[in-house]
Amino acid sequence: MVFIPQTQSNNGPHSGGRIPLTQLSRGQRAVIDAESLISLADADRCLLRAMGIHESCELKVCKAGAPCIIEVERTRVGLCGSVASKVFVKPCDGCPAA
Amino acid sequence: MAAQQPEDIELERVYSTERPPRAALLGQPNTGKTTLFNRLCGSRARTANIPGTTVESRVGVANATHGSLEIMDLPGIYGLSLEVPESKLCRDCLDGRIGDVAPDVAVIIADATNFSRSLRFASHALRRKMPCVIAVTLSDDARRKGFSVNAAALSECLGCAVVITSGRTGEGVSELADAVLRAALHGISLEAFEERLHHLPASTASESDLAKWANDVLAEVASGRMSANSRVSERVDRALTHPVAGLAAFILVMSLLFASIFWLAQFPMNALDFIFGTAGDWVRGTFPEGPLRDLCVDGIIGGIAGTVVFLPQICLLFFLLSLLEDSGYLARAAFAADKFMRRFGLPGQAFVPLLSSHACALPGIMSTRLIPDVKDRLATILVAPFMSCTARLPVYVLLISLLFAGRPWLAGLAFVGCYATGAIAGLLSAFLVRRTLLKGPARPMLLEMPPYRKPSIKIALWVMYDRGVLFIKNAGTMILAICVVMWWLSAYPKVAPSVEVLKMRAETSVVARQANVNPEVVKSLENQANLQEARDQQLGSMAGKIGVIAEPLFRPLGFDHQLTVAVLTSFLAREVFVSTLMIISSTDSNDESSLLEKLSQNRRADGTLLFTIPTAASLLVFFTLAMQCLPTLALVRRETQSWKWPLLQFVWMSGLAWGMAWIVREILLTGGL
Repeated sequence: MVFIPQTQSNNGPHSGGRIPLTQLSRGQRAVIDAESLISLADADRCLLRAMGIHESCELKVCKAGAPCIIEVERTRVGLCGSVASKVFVKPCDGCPAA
Repeated sequence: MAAQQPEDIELERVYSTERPPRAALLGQPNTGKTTLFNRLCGSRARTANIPGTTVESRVGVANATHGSLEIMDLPGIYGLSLEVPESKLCRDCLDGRIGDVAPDVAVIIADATNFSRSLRFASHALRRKMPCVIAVTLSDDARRKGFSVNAAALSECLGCAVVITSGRTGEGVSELADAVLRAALHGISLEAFEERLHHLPASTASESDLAKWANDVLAEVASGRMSANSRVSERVDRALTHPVAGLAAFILVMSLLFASIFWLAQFPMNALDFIFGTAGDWVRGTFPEGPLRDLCVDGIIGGIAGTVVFLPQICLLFFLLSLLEDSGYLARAAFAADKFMRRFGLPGQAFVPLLSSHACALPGIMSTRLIPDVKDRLATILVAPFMSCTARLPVYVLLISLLFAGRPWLAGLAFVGCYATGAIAGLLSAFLVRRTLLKGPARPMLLEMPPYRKPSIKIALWVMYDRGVLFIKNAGTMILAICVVMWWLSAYPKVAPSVEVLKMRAETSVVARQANVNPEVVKSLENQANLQEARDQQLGSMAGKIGVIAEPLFRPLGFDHQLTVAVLTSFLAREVFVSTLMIISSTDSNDESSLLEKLSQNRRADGTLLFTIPTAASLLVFFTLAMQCLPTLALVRRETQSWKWPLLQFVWMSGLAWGMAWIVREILLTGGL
């Protein structure tokens, strides 16, 4: 099955509250869950994982939009818009924007 | 003095009979790997391409207590199993598929300031059946932030030797060399390897499982917790990548970089010019006239001068780039430029090489090593010579002065137009080549933003020296050979003085014998005779004859055979064009206005004016776009390890230059100019 990310539908309850990384605002925290990276090309997904951006990790947005900068553990990574828009994350409840 | 242990005696025995063990440094980018390498090897390191590839690696010799080690600094990678060229290269290197021999030991770099990620990386590398040593780097930095690693506990957890190091302070460096030597001596038995695998997560483990494993190890071997990243650096990041402020900072930094290469380098360049000029004059005055003297002065000294004159720009560029890279800014600059450059199929990292090429294409092409993707790098190399370099300036000045004499505003606009034409042609060519010859998905920007650090002057000086030596040893020798061949083509066969020259010399002698004659008049007549002789030589030489043969090719652009000779000789280096024109036009080299005047009155064999507006404009367009720099072609050959790419570059650029020059001339002719 091919997963086609659509911003609107993924914002709804059926998407499990997942939104593209590009829609997070600065300082907001989010979690990458099991299906977050599924729509990325294999090579990009593997590279992101190797850089520490993997399923179950928590990230913080340092620069919002596309391109964006996120922080995972202690690593800051800049992502171009084409990749960031395909990374779907679950915003953390109760994590106020910085 | 302590008594030698039996193991030490064994090491000494091994060393007396076998080659030094080789260790490969394997780690992620920005983990202190290169700083550790510099500490291990000091000045005994050199940069070389990994055999059969265009990827650089630094190889050096490190001293352990009982002998030396050969250390190889592999490219920084995020994972050994990734399907990217750098990871494949590291795999091939570790397996001995490239290079003369596989490394005996893998030194796995684990960044103490990002330890969980480093452990995950190490878990993959440790699955290879080879002796491994873990070097925990940046330990001083981590301790300052409240985090430390217990080496013994980590060694127990991973089943291999662990050394806590700091490349910056030198902590643990000699211990690391000893540990690597011991690992090389002992090798790895099947039992030991199986024991090691027992400590590691399964090869099929998911990233979440790996992260869990890394966190468990971390809890067992580390004490303290790293303090959070500084909010200040986050703010600086936001500013440097902001659409307006980031762009302004980017333009400012790049302008300073460009101005430094353009302006600061002129002083050592002038000094080199003076030194080689003086050396040439000395040889000319000391040795008897003849072919040997000509070879020494015009071939060898001229060739060496033509090679080392590029050194100041190359050294300066790499010194400044090293400082920028070390500080962490270069990653932000690449981030800021990426969106614009992607439109033309180039990555953000291509901006610096293209900007540097405006000073000289040679350092620009050498700096493409900043670009990680092979196709992106190749595309940047191919289009870099389109940028208007300083060597084009004298030609621009001459032709724009011809076209817009007395109209400074138009002349200024024409200058800008030349620079813009080169840049646009380069970007559009990149767009084209990335969709045809170098087709394939562009590697999207996933760029780690390294922490801001105080740049090291020592490392920058080392990089500068290394690059300078590399240029002289590799590209320089080829450039020198090409210069000698081109000199020979333009100097031979020797042409006997023509009747006209003999007549001019006879007239000069008559005038010189007259009483009360002005010495300036005699000198001027002598100069005229010398220039006429040089002109005859130029046209009668091999290059001149080729020019006559090639004239039909350039006729549609309005060039006659003299102009064709000047254009052909300028393929050696663009600036040669002006001096060739001076010779052909029989102009005194010290008088530029005289050259302009003579050029504007220069006529073809049929008596029509040579430098009409359409011809001068087509010549200007030709020079803006043509690939007329043999040193650049030699360097491209070296960087790409193939003649295919420099040949393609030559054909494409020169073909485009010819086509655009023809179009411009036809448009102007149609417009009645």
